[in-house]
Amino acid sequence: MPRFLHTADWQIGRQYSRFDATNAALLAEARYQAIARLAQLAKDESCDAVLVAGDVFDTQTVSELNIRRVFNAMEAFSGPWVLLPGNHDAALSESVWTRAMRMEAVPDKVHLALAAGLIELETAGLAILCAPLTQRNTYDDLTAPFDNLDSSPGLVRIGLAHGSVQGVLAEDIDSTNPISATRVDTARLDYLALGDWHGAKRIGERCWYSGTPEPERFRNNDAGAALIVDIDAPGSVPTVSLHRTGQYDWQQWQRAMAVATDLDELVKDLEATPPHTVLDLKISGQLTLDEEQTLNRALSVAGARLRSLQANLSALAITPTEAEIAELHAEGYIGDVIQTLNEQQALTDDPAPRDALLILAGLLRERGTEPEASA
Amino acid sequence: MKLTDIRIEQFRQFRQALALEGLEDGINLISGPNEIGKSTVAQAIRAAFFERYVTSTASVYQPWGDSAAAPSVDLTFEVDGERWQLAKRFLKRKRCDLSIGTTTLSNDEAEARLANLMGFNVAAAGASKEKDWGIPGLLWIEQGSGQAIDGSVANAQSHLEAALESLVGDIASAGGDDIIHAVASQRGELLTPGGKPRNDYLKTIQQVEDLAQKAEGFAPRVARYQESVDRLGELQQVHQITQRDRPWENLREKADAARTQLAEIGRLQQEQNSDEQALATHRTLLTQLATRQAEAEQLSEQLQQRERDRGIVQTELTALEEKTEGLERTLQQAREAYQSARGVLQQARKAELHQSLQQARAEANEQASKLRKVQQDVEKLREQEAAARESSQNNRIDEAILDDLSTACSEHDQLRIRLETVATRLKFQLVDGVTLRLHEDILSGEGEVLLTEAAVLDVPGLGRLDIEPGGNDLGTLQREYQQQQDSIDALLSSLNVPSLAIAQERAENQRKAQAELTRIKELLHVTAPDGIEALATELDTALRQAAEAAERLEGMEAPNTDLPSLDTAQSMLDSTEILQSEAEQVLQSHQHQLAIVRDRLESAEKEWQRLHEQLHSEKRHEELRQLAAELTETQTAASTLETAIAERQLRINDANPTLVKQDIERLSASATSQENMHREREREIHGLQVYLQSAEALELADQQVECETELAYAQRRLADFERRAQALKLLYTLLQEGRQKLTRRLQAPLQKHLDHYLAMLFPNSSLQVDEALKPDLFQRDGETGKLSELSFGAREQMGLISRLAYADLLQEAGRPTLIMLDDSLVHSDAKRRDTIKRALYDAAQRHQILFFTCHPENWDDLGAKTWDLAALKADRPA
Repeated sequence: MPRFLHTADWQIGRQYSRFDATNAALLAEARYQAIARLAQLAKDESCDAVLVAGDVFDTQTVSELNIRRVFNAMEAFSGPWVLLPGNHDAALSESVWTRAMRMEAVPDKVHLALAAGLIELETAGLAILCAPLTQRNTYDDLTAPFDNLDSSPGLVRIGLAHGSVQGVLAEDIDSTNPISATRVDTARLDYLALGDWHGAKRIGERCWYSGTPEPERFRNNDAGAALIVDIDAPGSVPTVSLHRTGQYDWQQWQRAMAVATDLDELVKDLEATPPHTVLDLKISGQLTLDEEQTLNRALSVAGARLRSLQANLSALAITPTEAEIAELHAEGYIGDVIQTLNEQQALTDDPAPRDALLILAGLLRERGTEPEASA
Repeated sequence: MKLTDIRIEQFRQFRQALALEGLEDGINLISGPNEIGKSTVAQAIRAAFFERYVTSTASVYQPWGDSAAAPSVDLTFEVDGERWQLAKRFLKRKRCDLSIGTTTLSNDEAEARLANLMGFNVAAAGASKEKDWGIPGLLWIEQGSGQAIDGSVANAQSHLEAALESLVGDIASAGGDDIIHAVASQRGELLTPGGKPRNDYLKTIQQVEDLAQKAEGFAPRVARYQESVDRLGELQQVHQITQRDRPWENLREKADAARTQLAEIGRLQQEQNSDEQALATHRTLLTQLATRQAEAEQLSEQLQQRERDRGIVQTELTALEEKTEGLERTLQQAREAYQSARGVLQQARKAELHQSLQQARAEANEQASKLRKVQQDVEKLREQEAAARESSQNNRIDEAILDDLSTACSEHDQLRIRLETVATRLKFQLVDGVTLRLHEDILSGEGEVLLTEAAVLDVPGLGRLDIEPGGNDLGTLQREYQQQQDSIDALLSSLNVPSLAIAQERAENQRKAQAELTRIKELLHVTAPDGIEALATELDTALRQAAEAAERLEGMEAPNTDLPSLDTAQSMLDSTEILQSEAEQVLQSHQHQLAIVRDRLESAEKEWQRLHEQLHSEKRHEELRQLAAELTETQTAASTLETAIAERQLRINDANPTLVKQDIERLSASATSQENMHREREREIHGLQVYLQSAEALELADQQVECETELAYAQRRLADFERRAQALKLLYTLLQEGRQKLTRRLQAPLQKHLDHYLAMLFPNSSLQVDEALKPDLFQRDGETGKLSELSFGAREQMGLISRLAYADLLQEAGRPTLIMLDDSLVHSDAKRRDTIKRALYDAAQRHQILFFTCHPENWDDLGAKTWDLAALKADRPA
C-alpha cells in the first residue's frame, strides 16, 4: 500500500527584485525552508517516496552553494526522492543536474530522472514513468512513450511529468510542453503526478498538479501546499490529501475610497492581516487631508508588521475640505495654489498635483505648529 | 504721523540736552553749519526706533571721551490722533518706555510695538542692520545715499506688501514667502535652479543607467551560455554515433584495395616501358643498317661517274690544243700590219712640215711691207703736228686777263654813258664866225658840249663864262670813269696788246691751233697705237721670221706628192695597233684555259683511281654480307616487340589507373576528414565542457540576478525621486506665479503716485516699477534706459520722488509716514532745485518732512519753518 508525497515547482534560485533587499532575501530563504518542511512532512506522514514533478531549480545556473543547500534541506526524509527536470531546469547537455553530479552533491537516496524511462522503486512498490524535459521547451508530448512502457507487475504505475494538460488549464498558460488529457488511461497509470501549475489542482481522480510548496507570486490559488497520495494496489483509485506547506501568504488588494467608511474598512482589514502576509495594495478614489494622514499612519503600522507591504496610491486623489484649508491658514495666493492643485488632480492621472498638495499641506501644518512670531 | 518733540542728551555732540519742540506739519528745515550736529539729530531719531536699548554697540553714541555717558533720545509723536511718547536710554541706564495714550509699554514689548507701527524688524542682536530697517529705511534718506534706492526697497518689500494688503483689497499672504523658501529649498535638494536633477536624484539616474547597461551586458553572456549548452548537446549526439561507427576506417579499407589494384597496373606499365625502350633501340639500329647499305650501293655509281667525268675533261683538252696554231698565226699578221702603218705616218709628217714653212715665209714678207707704209704715214702726221703747235705758241694769250679786260671795257662804257647823262649839256648855235673858247677848245657854229667839270667859256670880246656843272655825283662819276680807264690801260699793257679787239682775235687763233693738235694726236694713236718704236720692232720681227723659214726650206727635199694625209696615216696606225693587241690577248687566254683543263684531267684521273681500288677490295665484300644478315635479324625482333606492347596496352587501358588513383585520393581524404571532424568534435566538446563548468559560466546567473535586483531597487528609488521632483517643480512654479501676480497688483497704485511727482520733475517722461516694486525703466523723449544708467544727480532726484511715492502709497494704506532728508539734493542745480521744492511742498501737504541742510539759503523758499541748530545750541536753557 504505497503512500508518497507529490510536490513540484520548488523554483530554487528565484529572485524577488520587486521587494527591498531584506524581504527579497527572506522570501528566497523561505523556499529552502519549504523543502525542509516537505521532508519533515514525508517523514511524519511515513511516506514511501517523494516525487518532485519538475522545476526544482528556477534556473540552470544556480550557485554551487544553493545546489548543496537544496540537497541538505532534504535531510529529514531518508528517501527515496525522485527529482524530475522541468522547463526551468531541463536535462540539457550541461545543466544544474550535471553540475550537481560533478559536485557529488546528490545523495544516494535521490534519483535524478534525467532520461525518459522507468525508475522502479521496489521497496516503495512504485514504478515511476519519467518524462523529463531535455530541452527548455518542446511541442511534443513527452508522456506519449508511457503508453508503451511496461513496468513490473505488482508495482503501482505512477507517471511523473511537467507541462500543461491539454484543454484543461487557462489559455494564458503557454502551450509548450503539452500533456495529453487522456494519458492516464492510455498509459494505464494509477496516478499522474504533474508540475508546472503553481497552485494545487485536481485534473482527474488519478491526475493532479501539486502546485509549489511556497508561493512566489500574487496570482494562483492554492499555492503553498503538497499532496500525499495513497494507492492501495495497482488499479486502485488514489486517495489524495492536501497539506499546507507555505510560509508566506501573498495577497493583492484593490480598494476604492469613495465614502468615509471605505477608509475605516481598509484600516480594519490591515489590522487584521496576519504578519506572514506579502501584501500588494492599490488604492484609488479620494481622501481629505486628514483621511490621508490616517491612511498613512495605518500603512506605516501595517508596513512594519507585515512581511511586505507595497502600496500604490497613484490613483488616489487628496481633496482638502474647506475647513482643512482654513486650518492651514492658507491665505492669499497660497490658497489659490491649493485650489489650482485640487483642480489639476481631477484633470490628470499625473500624481504630481496630489504630491504637491501633500507637500504644501505638510509645510503649512508645520508652520501652524510653530509658535507665532507675532501675536 | 507727526513728530512733535525731540529731545537728545549725552548723545555725540550733544553732551547737554538738545530739544526741538513743536515741530510742525509739513516741512521742518533743520539747518546749521557742518559739524554742528544735524546728522546727529537724524541719527538719534534712527537710534530711538532701530537700535535695541540693550545693545552695547550704542557706545558709538556716547560723546567723545565720555564712557560714562548714557545717551538718551525722547520722542513725542502723534499717530491717528493718539499721542505716543518714546523714551530710549542706552548703556548706563538702558531702557525703553513707550506710552500710547494711557497705555504704557516698556523695553522689548515697547520695541516690538514700535517695529510693528513703523514696519521694520527688531534687530536680533548687536547693532541694527540695514536689512532690518524696512519702511523707515526707505523713507529716511541718509546723507549721500539718496540715489541708492534698490537695496532700501528690497529691505522694505515684505513690509510694503504687508502694509499694502488692505490697499489691494485682498488678503496678500506675506507669510507665503516662507513657504516658497521651504519649497525652493526642498526643490533645490533635488533640482538645479535650471530644473536639472542633482545630488542623490542625479546619482540615482546615473546608477540606473549604469546598472541597466550592466544588466544588458548579461544578455549576450547568457545567450552564449545557452548556445553552448545546445551546441554541446548536438555535438555529444553526433559524437556518440561516430565514436561507435568509426566511418573513416571503412573508407581506409576501400582505399587500400584501390592501392593494391594500382600497384598491379604499375607493374604492367613498367614492363610496357621496358619493351617500348627495346623496340625503340631496334628501330634505331634498323635505320643505321639501312643507311649503311645505301652507302655501299652508292660507291659503284660514284666510280662510273668519275670515269664519265674524266672522259669529258679529256675531250675538252684536245679541242683546245687544236685551236692553238691558228691563234698564233693571226697574231703574226697583226704585228706586220702595224709596222707598215708606222712607216707611212712618218712620211706624211715630213710633207706637212715643208708646206707650213713655205706658208710662214710668205706671210712674214707681206707683214714687213705693210709696216713700212705705216711708218711713212706717221712721219707726215708728225710734221702737221709741229706746225699746229707753233701756231698755238704764237697766239698764246692769258684767258683770265682777257676776261677781266673785257669786263672792264664794258663797265667803262657804262660809266661814260652815265657821265654824259649827268654832264651839263652846252648847246650852242653860233653865228658864223663867232668863236668861243672853252678852255683850250674853240667852239663855233652849231654844236654841243658836255661839261663834266667846271669850265670857263671865254667869249671873246665879251668876257668869260664860268660854267659850273650841277649834280653832286658828277665829280664822283668823273673819278670812277678815269679809274676804269686806268685799269683798262694796265690790262692791255699786261696782255701786250693795243686793244681789246686784237686780244680777242689772238685768243681765237690759239683755240684753232689747239683743235688741230688734238685731231693729229688721235690719228697718230690710230695709226701707231704702240708707238713708233714698237712699229720698228714689229718690222724687224717679220723680216727675221721670213729669213728663218727660207733657211729651213733650203735644207729640205721636196716631199712625195702621193702620200696620204697625216690624219689618215695616224688613223691607220691606231687600228692596226688594236688588232695586234687583241690577237695577243686571245692567245694568252687560250693558253690559261689549257692549263686549267689539264689540271682537272689530272685530278679526275686520281679520283677514279681511288674509287676503283676501294670498290674492288675483299674487306668491303665481307662487310656487305654481314650488314644484310644483321638487318634481317633486327627486323624480326622489332616485330615481336610491337605485338607484345599492343596487347599489354589494352590491359592497362582497361584497368584505368587515373580513376584508381583518384579513388585512392578521394577515399583517403574522406577518411582523414571524417576522423579530423571527429577529433574536432571531441576538442569542441571538451572546450564547451570546460567553459560550461567554469566559474564564469556558473556565476553568471548569480551576477545577473544581483544586478537586476540592484537595478530594480534603483529604478524604484528613481521613480520616487522623479515623482517628488515633479511635485516640487509644480508646486514651486504655482507659488511663484501666485507671488508674482500679487506683486503686479501692488504695482499699479505705486505707479500712480510715481507719475504724479515725475510730471513735476521730468515732464513727458515715465518711470516704471518692476515686480519687486523697484523703479526700473526710465523713459524720456522716446528713449528707454535703466534708472542706474542716469547721472548721479538725476538718480538722486528719482530716488527722492520714488520715496515720496512710496510715502503716498503707504499713507493711502493707512500707515504712518515720516520723511527725513539728511543733506540731500546737493547735486541738483538751482533750476532743478526749484522744481524739487514744488514736489517737496506738494508732498508736505500730506507728510511731515524733516529736512536737514547746511545750506538753508538754498531752501529758504520752501515755505517751511527753519530750526537753526547753532541758535538752539546757543539758546540752550541752563
